[in-house]
Amino acid sequence: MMSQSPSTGPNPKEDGFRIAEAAVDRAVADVMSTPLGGRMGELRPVLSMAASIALILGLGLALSGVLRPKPCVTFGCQLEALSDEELSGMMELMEEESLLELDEEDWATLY
Amino acid sequence: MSSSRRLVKRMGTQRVPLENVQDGSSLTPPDFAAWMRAHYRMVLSQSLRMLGVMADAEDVAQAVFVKAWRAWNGFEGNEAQRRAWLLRITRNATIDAARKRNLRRMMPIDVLLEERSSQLLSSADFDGDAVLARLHGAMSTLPPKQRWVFQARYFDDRPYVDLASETGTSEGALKASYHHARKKIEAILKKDADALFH
Repeated sequence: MMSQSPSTGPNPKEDGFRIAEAAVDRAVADVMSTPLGGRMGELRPVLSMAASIALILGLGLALSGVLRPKPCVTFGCQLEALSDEELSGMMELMEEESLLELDEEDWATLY
Repeated sequence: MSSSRRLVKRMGTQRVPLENVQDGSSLTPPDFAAWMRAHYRMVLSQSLRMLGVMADAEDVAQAVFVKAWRAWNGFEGNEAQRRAWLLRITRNATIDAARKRNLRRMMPIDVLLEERSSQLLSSADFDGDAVLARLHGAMSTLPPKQRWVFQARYFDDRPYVDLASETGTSEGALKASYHHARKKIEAILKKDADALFH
């Protein structure tokens, strides 16, 4: 019989597998050479998972800050945002204003 | 409270044995190496029957005992509970490994049967006859949970009541699982015998 184990019932059957004594010795030595790590060892996976989550959240926040469009408040920005049609419409308006021959002082009272 | 109940008292994080009791109900952790030596064959043989390949079975057994080794000093419970815990993690680990193996190797049943049987017969770790190799081949075609119940009942003759407490499944469900597994294996082996003699 290959293995008389504590889990076997009253009529265990031969399964045909053979386990050498040397293999048991080697397995015991391999397992016992694994560092225990103590309390910190138990916490390490949890800590590394927490660090990963914090990193992902941090990156997410940083990226959302970078990707968020800044409000367009300056004249230059608003000019750049105009489409070709809007820009040509604006140019026409400016030409009309020049035809009216408004002086610089009149600009203040125009609107 | 029985004398075997109050075996240890806590001093900080250190467990201090108050007396030595050898009745198996001791809460004092035994020497790990001796304990592993006593249980290694049981774990490895379950893995072998589930996976069929020594290298894979040894990997699973090692993972199980590394888990036990790491939890050794913090384990609260007596020897029977420690063994029950070992059996539970062995079952879970072997079923997981068998599932992964099945996913990797989807193939028709007759091909699997043939491959598995010839693989066993040429293995140095197996000295059973062709019939036993065929039985292992047929077992390898079962779904992992059924295979686990079958090997525990057929080879180890373990009582259903133990298997039920270990798996959290009813005895009825385990009996049904064993019955289905047995029928499938009978059908495979019968077909095999028919092909051989006709």
